[in-house]
Amino acid sequence: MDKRIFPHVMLSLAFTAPVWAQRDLKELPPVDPASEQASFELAPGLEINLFAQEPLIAKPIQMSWDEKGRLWVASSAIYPQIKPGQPQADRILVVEDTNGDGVADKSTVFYEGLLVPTGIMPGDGGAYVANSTELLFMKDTDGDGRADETKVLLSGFGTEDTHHILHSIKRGPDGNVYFAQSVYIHSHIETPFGPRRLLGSGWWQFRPESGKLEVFSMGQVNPWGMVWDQWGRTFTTDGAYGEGINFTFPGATFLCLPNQLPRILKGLNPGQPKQAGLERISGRHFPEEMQGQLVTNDFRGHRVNRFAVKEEGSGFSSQQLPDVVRSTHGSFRPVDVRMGPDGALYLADWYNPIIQHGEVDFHDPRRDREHGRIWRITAKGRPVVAQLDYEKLSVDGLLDHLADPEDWVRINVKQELKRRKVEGLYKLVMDRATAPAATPDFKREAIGLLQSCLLMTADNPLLTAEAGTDFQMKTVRASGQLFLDGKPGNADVLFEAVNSDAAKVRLEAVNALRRMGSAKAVEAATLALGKAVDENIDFALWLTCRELAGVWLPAFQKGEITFDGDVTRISFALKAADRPEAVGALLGLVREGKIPAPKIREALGLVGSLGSPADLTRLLQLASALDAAPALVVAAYDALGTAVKQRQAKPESGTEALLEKLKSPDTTVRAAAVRLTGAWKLASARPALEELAGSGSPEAVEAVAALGGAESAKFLTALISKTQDINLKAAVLGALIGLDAQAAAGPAVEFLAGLKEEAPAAVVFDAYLGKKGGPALLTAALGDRKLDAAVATAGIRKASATGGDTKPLVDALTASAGLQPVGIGLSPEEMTKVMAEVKNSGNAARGEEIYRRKAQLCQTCHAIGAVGGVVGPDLLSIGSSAPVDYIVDSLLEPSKKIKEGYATTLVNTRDGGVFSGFLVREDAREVMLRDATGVVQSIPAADVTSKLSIPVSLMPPALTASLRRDEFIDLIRFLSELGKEGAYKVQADSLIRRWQLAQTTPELNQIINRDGLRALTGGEQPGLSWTPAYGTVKGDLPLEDIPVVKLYQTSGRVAQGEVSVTTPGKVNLKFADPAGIKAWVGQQEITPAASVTLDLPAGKHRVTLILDPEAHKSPLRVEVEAAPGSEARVVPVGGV
Amino acid sequence: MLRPLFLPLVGCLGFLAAPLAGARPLPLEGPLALENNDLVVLLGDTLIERDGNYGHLETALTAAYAGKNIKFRNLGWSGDTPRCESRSYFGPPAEGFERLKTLLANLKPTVVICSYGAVDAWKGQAGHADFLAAYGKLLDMVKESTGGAGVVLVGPPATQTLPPPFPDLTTHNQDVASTGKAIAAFAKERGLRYGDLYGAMTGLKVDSSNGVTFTESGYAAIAPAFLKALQVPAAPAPAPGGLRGLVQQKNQLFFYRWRPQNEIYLFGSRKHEQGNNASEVQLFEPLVAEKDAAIQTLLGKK
Repeated sequence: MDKRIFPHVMLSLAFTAPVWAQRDLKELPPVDPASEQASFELAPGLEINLFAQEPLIAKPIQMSWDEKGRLWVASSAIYPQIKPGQPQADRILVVEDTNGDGVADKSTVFYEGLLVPTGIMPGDGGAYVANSTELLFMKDTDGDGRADETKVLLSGFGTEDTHHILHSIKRGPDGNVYFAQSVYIHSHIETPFGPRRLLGSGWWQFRPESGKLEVFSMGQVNPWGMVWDQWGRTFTTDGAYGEGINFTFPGATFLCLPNQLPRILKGLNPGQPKQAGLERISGRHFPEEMQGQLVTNDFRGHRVNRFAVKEEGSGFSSQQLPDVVRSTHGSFRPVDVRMGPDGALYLADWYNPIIQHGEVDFHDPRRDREHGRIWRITAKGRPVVAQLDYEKLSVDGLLDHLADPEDWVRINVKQELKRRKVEGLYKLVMDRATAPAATPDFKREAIGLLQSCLLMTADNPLLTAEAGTDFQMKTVRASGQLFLDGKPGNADVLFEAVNSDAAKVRLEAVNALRRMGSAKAVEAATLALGKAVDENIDFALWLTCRELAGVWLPAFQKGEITFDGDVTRISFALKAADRPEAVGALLGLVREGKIPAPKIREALGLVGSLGSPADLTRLLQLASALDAAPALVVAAYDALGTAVKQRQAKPESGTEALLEKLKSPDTTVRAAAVRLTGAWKLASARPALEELAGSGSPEAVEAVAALGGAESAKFLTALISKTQDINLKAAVLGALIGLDAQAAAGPAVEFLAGLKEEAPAAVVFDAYLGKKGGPALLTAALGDRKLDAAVATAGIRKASATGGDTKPLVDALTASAGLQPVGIGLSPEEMTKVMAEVKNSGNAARGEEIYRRKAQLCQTCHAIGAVGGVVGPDLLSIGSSAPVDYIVDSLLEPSKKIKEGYATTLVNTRDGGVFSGFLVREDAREVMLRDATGVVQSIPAADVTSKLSIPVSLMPPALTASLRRDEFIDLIRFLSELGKEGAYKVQADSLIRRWQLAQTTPELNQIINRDGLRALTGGEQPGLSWTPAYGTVKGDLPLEDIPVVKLYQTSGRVAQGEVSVTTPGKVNLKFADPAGIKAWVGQQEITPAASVTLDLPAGKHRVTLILDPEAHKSPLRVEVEAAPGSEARVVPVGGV
Repeated sequence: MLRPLFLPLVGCLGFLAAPLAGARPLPLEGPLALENNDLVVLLGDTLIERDGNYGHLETALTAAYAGKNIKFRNLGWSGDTPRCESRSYFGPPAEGFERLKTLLANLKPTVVICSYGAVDAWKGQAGHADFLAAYGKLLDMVKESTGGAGVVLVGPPATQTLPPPFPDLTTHNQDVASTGKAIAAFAKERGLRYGDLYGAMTGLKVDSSNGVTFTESGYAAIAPAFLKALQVPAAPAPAPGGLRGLVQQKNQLFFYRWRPQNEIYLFGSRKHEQGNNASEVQLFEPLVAEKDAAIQTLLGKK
């Protein structure tokens, strides 16, 4: 190593490190394995022992067993970033337990010289190694246990973030090799089938024998864990997003930043912490009841989670079970989990008090670079599984084990048979698989074996002979894979399967047909619409029609495929295709009345987005017909508005027809016509619009503004003083600001100064912030006027979340309401002091109360366990993943610490508009931003002049300004406890945590008088007002959070929750305290008790409760679960 | 508007020889005459990128000009095209293009050896017009950002058909050949030197991992063909032992410098978190310079 470099490095560390080094060092947990082991709390019936530790291994990232029972470990001390002068010396280690006592006693360095290797899989006579930009294949050719030959198999993987680089290499039951890359990675790879690019996250499927590389699934923030069930269906987990188990079929697409597709699938357990590594319990060592359970690691929370998945529709539902192991040891970081050759469950423990590298400096000395452990979990009193010596077994002997219950044995047998290149293997396998005595398991594995050995062909009798449901599913997946491998496939198998009664077979069929890739395949795939279509099938079919639009649309236009003239199938395919060629056909279907009413809006929306001027002319004619239904007219006008806004496209003629509709007796039609005149800037409509604006129509106000010019400004200026209603006045001001921000400044400040309400103020702030030079104008006009604190805070929040230079405005607003200015960060000494106070005097319970205060706005943007806002990150495990100083910084200076995916995007538009927010998605048509209030805005791509990702948080810095110091300390304490073992870890219960609370309205009494209390069970309806409320971490809703409202002759606290039933059946609703509660589930009144059993159909059900203020005195706490012995699946509904 | 890219590189690569900016015409025919103090950038796709690891091509070039002090910088990127598709990180290819422009402007090479076409060859004849238009824009940018560095265009390497289940690349290989021919004609139009790598590989047995990307021994086999295609004069003496090792070490250090890991934290949208470490990558520069010096020492100078 070059020594001269060190002074530089040490010097640069000197500026950044001592603060860290001194601050928290004392809190590092003890490193001896005994104290770590003592912290483990295991599920009943399990025990744990230390299998390997330093110096045998260090810093394990992925581990993988070979067929000889040796454990291969990818190990990196360099992570997260190599230092100048540091040798590239990361290693692949091979660990062995040579005497079978369950403890490793030998370790060999297979290779040293890698850069952050994050994947390892032995196989094919060597080992596959993920080495940053490359996938390597390394081999020991002389038997000394060390690699002496290295081949680059693939290169061009991105390294934008070292905890996202190429990782998690696993062999699938079909013989393919799978690996992942995460959300910041952009890969560009040359293969013998052409270049392959994946921009963002996803799982790759690789066939080393042919060099074929394909994207298997897309999305997830940090896909990190993949496993298959016995039928080859895939499950994955995400190390940076909280949806638990993801059922991942070929083509499945999950959240990405930004999303690559306009629609995505969801995981099966929303509200989970982030999870790394995934294994399926199989084999004879663990008891029957554990078979098939999925195990994954919550490395932030120091625990190993467990789930049971159950088939549901075409996919699965997943239920969390008690943890396998949990710990309070701050360095226990399980990151990988694998079944071992003895049938025990092994955990790779990264062992580090610091994880990740965004929050904590790359070179923070608290990062552990030396330690690492492998833990071994066994079932008490049960024998381990005898290990096979694959090399010594005959071919027949190997086939005897092909369908063993151990997942890993089945894969090893296949790989061993492949390695031997057995002459006549095909016949041997088929003879046994087609014999009368062949078990379904053997046949199933025979398919995987033939796939693994590349001996599968379309005419294989196994692919057609059996029609058993699960088996058919397997054959369909295998048929699809044939197309992907460039071999002829068997279309008949798929055409039959797509009509199957079993949803899971239909899903596989649609996916296989997509891989088949022809127009006929698309036509056949849409037959799946003839049976129940669940989310998975809908997505798969949509993707098929979309991906193959270039193939099937021309064939459809030429009449080569017809979809049997079935309008449902045709319109589904056309909408999914989302291409201009589809528009004409779609419009024809609408005109002929063949599109069902609820689908018309969506269909016409597509015409608006894609149609040519001729198409738009036809659309306008359709809406102008005398007998056109109001809903159709509104949908058509909105679509025409989209066309002009997104891409300046208008009908060729006939726009004057709109004037008539401004007089329509139907208010919805009139409003839509007003909006469209504005969008078209139809000058001839001015008199009519001004009249409507004068009579209080906010749409007309906007339309007049859209007409533009001095005439509009003059009209709006005059209208301000005539308007009394504050919301309408805000709309008029907003419109005027857009036209003439200077002229509007005086009246705007006048208006703000007299306001106490946030909402109308926000309209004015938005208008100024959305205009170039707007903030400066408003600042100047504000002068030293005084504003109400709520109004000023609304402005500060809006201004802080905007990318431009809004500091003068924020300062002016802060001063205007006499708010306490926020310090810009703490000095190291102050931070040390705050941290000590948090530790010594912080009170988490009081902190939670502060967190829950409405004025604090925390819950508006953040959820805890998927219950709450979605603007900011879920805080479920913030305390277990982020150090205290990080949390403090996040609150005081939100822009200093921005969680991945929460950076602000700033968009400037051609007309001088400025938009900012979280980038949800962008494509050739639009850029979608979610603003700080959770509202998603669509900006036409054609209007965008620049789009910048800016290091500004949407979280306003002023939020803690109103807190006393002790309150601030309590709040930090609460946040720092979230996710740690104890009272502030969200438990895997099924409590209703998200409620809607009825508020007093002028109409409430009248409605109850007219319709009775039952009126409350309908949720949203005119005259009722509901506000969201969220349970505490413990799951209670405090009574004082629920307002008492007058309900005609009585009064009470009204709370409404929701439960989602995915498998119908008997469900128990459990009231912690049933006293003084009237309750309805749906429309049906029930009698609350400690447990009420209900038979619920599938779907969402409202649970409406009225709490008698005199009789019910405890916090509201209601749980829902399947009744014992019931098949039902039920979960409470979370969200915003 | 584009993000300012690679700002940290500005002004910090000055230690690299700092040759005079200005036109550096290379005669169209005859031996490739590299000169003392030339800084040669190898630009291209996987072929170039992997030579950074193996060093065979660069070592052969270095040995051929052993009497002169010439430095090489490898800017290959897997899967890249003249549109800079692989260099874009989070943005559109145009951002990758701008990134390369800044990089070249800072490196100030006197000679740029470009090898593109292997990726575009997959589009066949139909893709030639688009490919060459993009290549033209790239070369305009190279000229502008380097102040007129000498440019050599090398055609894509021949691919091989390996035994099944690897795909039969016979047709694709014809597309590779025709892409090479199109580049040759294009080079002539622009008055640039062209190196016919495909032709030089005729009859050559080259080890590859999949038919399109080559192994370490494959690169050893390609090196003479690469030199032949460039018309590099015969080496005065065989490459000294240890030269390739030094070249590989130098390339690894330079890779850490220009393509550091954690781009998003150092220079991208999360630089507010770890941007303080961005300046650290500059500390690789003296290490690269040391290896340059060691190479020259090994070649018998100073």
